[in-house]
Amino acid sequence: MRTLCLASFRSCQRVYWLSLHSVLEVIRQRFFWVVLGMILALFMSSALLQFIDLSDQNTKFIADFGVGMIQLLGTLLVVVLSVQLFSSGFETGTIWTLLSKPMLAWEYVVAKFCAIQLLMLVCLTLMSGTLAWQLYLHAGAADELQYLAIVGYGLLQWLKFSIFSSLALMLAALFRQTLLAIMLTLLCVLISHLRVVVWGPSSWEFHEGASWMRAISQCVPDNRLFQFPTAAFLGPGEFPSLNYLMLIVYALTYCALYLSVASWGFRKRQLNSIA
Amino acid sequence: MSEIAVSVDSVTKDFSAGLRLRKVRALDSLQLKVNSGQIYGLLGPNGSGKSTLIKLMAGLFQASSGHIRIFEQCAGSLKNRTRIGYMPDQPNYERFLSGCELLKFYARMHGLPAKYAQMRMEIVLNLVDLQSVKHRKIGRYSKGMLQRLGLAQAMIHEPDLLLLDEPISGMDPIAHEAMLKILSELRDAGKTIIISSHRLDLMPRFCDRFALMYRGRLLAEHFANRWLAQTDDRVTITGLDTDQRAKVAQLVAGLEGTCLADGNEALPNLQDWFLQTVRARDQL
Repeated sequence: MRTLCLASFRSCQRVYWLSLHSVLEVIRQRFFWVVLGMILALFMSSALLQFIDLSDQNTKFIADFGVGMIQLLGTLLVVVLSVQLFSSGFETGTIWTLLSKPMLAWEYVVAKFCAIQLLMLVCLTLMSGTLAWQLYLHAGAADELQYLAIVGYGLLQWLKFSIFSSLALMLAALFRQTLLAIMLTLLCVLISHLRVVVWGPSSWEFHEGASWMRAISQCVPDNRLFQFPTAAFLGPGEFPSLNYLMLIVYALTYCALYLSVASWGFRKRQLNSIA
Repeated sequence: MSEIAVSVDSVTKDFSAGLRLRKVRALDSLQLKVNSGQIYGLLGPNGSGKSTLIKLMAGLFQASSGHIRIFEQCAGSLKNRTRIGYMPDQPNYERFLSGCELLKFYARMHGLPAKYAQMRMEIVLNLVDLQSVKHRKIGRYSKGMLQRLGLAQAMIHEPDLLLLDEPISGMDPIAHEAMLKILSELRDAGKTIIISSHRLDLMPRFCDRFALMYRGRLLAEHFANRWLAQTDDRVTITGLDTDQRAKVAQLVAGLEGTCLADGNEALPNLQDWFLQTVRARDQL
């Protein structure tokens, strides 16, 4: 029992150090700051909207614009960051030194995942903060702004991006080509948006392949679960009643599943790489 | 009799290559043993399987068949990795870190406590003579510095076995002389060192024992001192005039199994022997 506890403690220590190392790897790259700067500049560009007269829809427009930006840029950022961070060790050859250290395959995968989550948390905080600020500047009645709803939305997206990140890590572990892994992840993200097509209309009920399609669609999470209307940001009494605990369990299940396959794929890829 | 540090037992390693996943055999039924406290050289041309064998020993690859045991335990186990220091053939390290940060990171990955890690870092940096550039970003290191940093990271946790893949490739003569001196000191301190190289001319003078590999197979294994005794039983006498030379020739003629070679005549060395053996084998 004592040995098991010690081994678990050492594993946690290694995951911690490797996560910090990965965060450092990202934040010391100029590319990351350029992308982050561009994202924030895009958010700030919504300030230009004050010159366009959208009457009472102005604030709603800014909220929709911000949410769209969070979803689009957040998805792109998390997918590219995850695949790049995972594959960079193989591409630069630094992985061989690291793997000769007392480290398990799952520790490497989980450390990368944790690093990405930390970075995404920072990015989402910045994006949600900028959105809240823009809404504050433009809203007619700033007192009515629901800051808690914006924070809640940001955390919900963080949860969703954690699934996308583990999905990207899994595909990066299974496929050697970085670009292929990115494209496949984005395809899966698209499928997760389109799950409504398979599960929604009743016309599918009697289709021969409907049950198969539905079974396959379970491999990707349902993106709709992590959405709520932007009206919730703008007025009281609109806060969406989601089962947050269920969503956390849902996200953790997908993450655990994807990360397990990623660890298996990583180990297999490592042991069979060409010298 | 000294303890066996590494035992390679009928190890074969196949890789799958290409779209058809064609099998490429990198190692073929390889068998060898390395005693502890020795410098063991793995010599051979590029593609002979030296790096694959070292990676198998470090637990980075899994053998397709056969077993590798390091200090009586399976290669690749977590416990074993704490006793091994591995230096890869390509000195690729995180360019965004400084030498000091890199060593600290690897020390932490080995679970060394902060104070001990700091102490070890100072020791290895002094040993490889990188103390003055320890705060410089690795991206700005020269090739020789990177090789020495590679050795430093391999030694940070005081391993019993060092696996060094081509540690002197790309180094200038002064740098590789310094590197070989460090390794000799480590051997004297009781460490076992396995070193791969394609420098057939240099290694026998430096290793205790060496294996010659070719196309994933073991061509021959020699004790360096015996090999050198075979090839180094030469005496060079300079400054002889014609009369003196005639006298020496007369003397040599009277000694059984000796001959007088012209100064310009190339003497047989390991490289020649290796090429002859390989050509003979290829013709079979």
